[in-house]
Amino acid sequence: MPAQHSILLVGESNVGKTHYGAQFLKRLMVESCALKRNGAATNLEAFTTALSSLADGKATDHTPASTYVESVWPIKDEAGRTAELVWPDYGGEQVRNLVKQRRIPAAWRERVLAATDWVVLLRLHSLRAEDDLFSRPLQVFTGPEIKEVTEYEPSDQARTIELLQMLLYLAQLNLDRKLRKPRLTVLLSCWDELETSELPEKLLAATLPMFWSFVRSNWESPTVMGLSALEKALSRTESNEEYAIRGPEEFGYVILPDGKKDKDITLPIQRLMAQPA
Amino acid sequence: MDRCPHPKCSADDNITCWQGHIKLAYCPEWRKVVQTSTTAQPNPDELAVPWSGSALGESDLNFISGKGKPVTVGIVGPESSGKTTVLAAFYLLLGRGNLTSEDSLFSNSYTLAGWEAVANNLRWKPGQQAPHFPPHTTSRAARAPGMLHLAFRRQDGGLRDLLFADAPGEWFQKWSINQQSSEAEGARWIAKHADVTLLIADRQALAGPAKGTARNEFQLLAQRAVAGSQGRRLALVWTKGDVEVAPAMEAQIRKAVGSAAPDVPEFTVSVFKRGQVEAAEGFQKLFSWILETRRPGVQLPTSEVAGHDLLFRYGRR
Amino acid sequence: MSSEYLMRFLEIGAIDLKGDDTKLEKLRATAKGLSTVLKKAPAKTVCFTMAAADPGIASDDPTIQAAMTVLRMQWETVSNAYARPPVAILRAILLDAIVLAARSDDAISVAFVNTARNALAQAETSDEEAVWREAVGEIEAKVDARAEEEWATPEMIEVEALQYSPPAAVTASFKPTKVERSSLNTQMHAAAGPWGGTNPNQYQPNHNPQQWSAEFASKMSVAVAQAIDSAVEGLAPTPIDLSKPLTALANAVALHVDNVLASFSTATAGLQRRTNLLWWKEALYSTSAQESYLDLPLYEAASLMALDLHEQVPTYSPASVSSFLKEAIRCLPVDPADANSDKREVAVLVQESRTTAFMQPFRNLAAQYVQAAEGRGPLLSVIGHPQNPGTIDAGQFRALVGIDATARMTPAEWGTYLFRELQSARATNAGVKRSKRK
Repeated sequence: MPAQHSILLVGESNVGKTHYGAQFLKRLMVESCALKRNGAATNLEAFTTALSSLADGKATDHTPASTYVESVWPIKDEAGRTAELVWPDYGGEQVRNLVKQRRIPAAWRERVLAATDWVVLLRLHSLRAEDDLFSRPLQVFTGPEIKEVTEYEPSDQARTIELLQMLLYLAQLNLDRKLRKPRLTVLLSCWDELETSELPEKLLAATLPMFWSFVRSNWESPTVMGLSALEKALSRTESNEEYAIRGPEEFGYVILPDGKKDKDITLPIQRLMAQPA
Repeated sequence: MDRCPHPKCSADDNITCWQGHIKLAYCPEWRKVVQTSTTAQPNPDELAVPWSGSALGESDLNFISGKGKPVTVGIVGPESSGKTTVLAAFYLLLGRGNLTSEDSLFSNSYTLAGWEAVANNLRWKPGQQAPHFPPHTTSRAARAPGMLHLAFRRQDGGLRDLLFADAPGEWFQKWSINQQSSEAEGARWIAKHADVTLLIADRQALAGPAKGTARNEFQLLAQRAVAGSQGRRLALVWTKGDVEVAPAMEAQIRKAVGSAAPDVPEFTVSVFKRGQVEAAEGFQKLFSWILETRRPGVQLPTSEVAGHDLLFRYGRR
Repeated sequence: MSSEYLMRFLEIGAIDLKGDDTKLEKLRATAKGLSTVLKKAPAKTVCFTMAAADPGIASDDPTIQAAMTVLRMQWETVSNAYARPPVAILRAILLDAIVLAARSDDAISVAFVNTARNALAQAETSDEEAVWREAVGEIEAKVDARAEEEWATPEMIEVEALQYSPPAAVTASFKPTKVERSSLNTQMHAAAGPWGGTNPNQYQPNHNPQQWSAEFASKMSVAVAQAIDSAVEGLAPTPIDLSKPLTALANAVALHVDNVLASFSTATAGLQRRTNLLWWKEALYSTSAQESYLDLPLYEAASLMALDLHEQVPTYSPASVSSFLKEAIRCLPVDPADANSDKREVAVLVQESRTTAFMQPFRNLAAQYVQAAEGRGPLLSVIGHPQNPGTIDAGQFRALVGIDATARMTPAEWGTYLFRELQSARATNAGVKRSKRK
């Protein structure tokens, strides 16, 4: 039996990780995708609320766990290859704090050490694009008004890089050579709200050039895909008619690296499983 | 949280123990405190990483230099001459993907927070006025300069680490006057370790009311820096390039550098667009010059021999 | 002393260990451990030196990995303390270990000095120059002292005094004898007349004076003669045995002559070596290939000269011998029509050395000296074991030999590079005769 994949899904809060999980789970349940369940998942608490909200066509408010919990789903594909999908849940702001407070739950270490694949979810729409001297040239430089600024938010780009750097350190991976393992997939979530026809990779390169450079220079062959888990924005309070009638499994799509759209949102995972662990 | 009793360890400072114990509870040094102390302990279920993200001090540097000494860039200039602005501009351009080419991709940085702090002032903030100069880099009690790190992946697959010393101008002023000054230790560190020295000529100061003093200070500093660079790379960098300076003054500045070291390259940078030249261009040119730094190999001279036997003296200087 | 290079190397590399004795002790112990490894297997000197001399050495190079294993035994959590494997620290430890081992082993010294000179020129080491200069200088002085013995000339011979201590003076035992008076008296009395005791003179002196005197004379002469004879007999010396001291003398002289001849022949060998060197340089003729270097393509000639000179000189040769080679190669004519003659890419030169029939003898010797390349090591490993004669890609080339594939060398640089490698390899290779002398 070939070595099993262990696929780690990483994303800050509000990137749609729970929605993706719920949609993924729904697909598995109604068997409308090429993947099958391969035993019982450990803990589905984080996704059950989302599942029921989506059934009515409502977005869900993910209530983050206060401590680290993870949900592990054993799955297998049509060729019989098996994998573990690991959804770590570290509670709302914790990922942001991870970088800020520089403390990582010890359980993460085991996970990153064991993971054969990392899937990073990024929601480009919610990232701040900041203007600086070079994008918005100055006419007049407001004189040497020196004011020591102590409070500031680091840029989203820097924070995202730092998160991966921290995970790399925990996984005891050094960057002397480009990494073959763990493979890296970047999922640009909530693709629908971006309203673009750009290739995912191009879009990432244009939006977060430094992050993209970081990814390309450190991984042998990173993959970037677009993901819209819900296909359209849902309200938290009002249910969506179409969702309620046709079922959430009829919604959602991925944008493959070549720009093709596919309804099967489990494709990013299938593709990883098709490669040797 | 407690301090680790080890003088070199900054485990209390949000980073891991300097011996590399990810779990502090396993560190023999740390345990010495644990037994006697009653204050809050680090959560045993949490791990820390050994870099804080801020500018690195002399011993933090080991984290990176253990692999090999990074190409160290010393920016030498008096106070308010725009040293920190040069660094901020580099980082902003890097963030926009405008600093390097395909031959050398940004790979990592263990001082992202430090870079962010430096660059923050050159960003437009919502509801705030325009960007302003970075605040004065204080000569803190720490004797080593704060070092900012960047690593690039070269085409051959290897990594190249760069280290920029962000040091206060006072250090260099003290150093130019008295090389052995106790307040110039940081400047001496830079002079000793810098693979690349950027000698800053502040056009605003050289055109301003105290231009004579500025010229004088520059000459002193240039003399020191050129002597210290000992054949390593050195460039003359004109900051605030939009300011006009008397040609005779420019000549004096060039003379101060060029008399000791001919063929010193010159760069001009400015945060303003100058005519058709975009503000980014000057910084980009300067950075790619820094990036192509390579230390030469060593041809060891044959060692000295005593005696008159020609055979043994053959080929020796 | 032992930590001197370690500390200085770290300091140059901006690694600050001031005031951290526990950590320093771990590094020192590692250096000591590695020097023991080296003394047991001197052939590793080349790889150790090449790894130590290149800041760009890969962290997964076998030598670096081996050093890391030793360091980890001292300092378990070491890898957590650095962003990437602490190669600079391992290099400092390796240099320290090599110097420690070289101080007590001349073969390691030779390999270290020759390899360091080659490798340092190819790596980004300018900032480390001071510490290398000192380390190589220290060890080279030792090598040169040893070389001086092998390259001495007759005028430099010092012959020890003859080791012979003469035997103690022989005292011949001599006892002065006295004439036995009583028996002479008895006999003389008997000769005097018939009244004498035993065997008296039968004649009376007064009766038969004529007969008496005849008898007297004969008896007296017998008695006196007997007395004198026995007295003289007592004077005969005991024989003296001189064979022992004479043998000792002969042996001492023989040994002395042997010694004189030995140092003389060493000196004449030294003299001959010098003479051969000069002749070789002047003649520019390869005795092994039976061909003039002048008739060969430039780089082929340079390789062959390195090989020939290596065969000609002993392991312990002064550093100036490679300068000699350099000058000799520079004597070769440059074809002005050949654009490649002043510098050629090392990767191309290596590739040719792996494949051309001309380099077969060189490859044979290289294969005898060194193993096939596993990580960073000498060019000889790559040249001597061309199992896969395909071109080595640039990245691998750099990883194996520490030279940029695009680096270029003049014929003189190429020849001296190969020569130093051959010298290093022979010095530390136990399986091969250490020095071939003529």
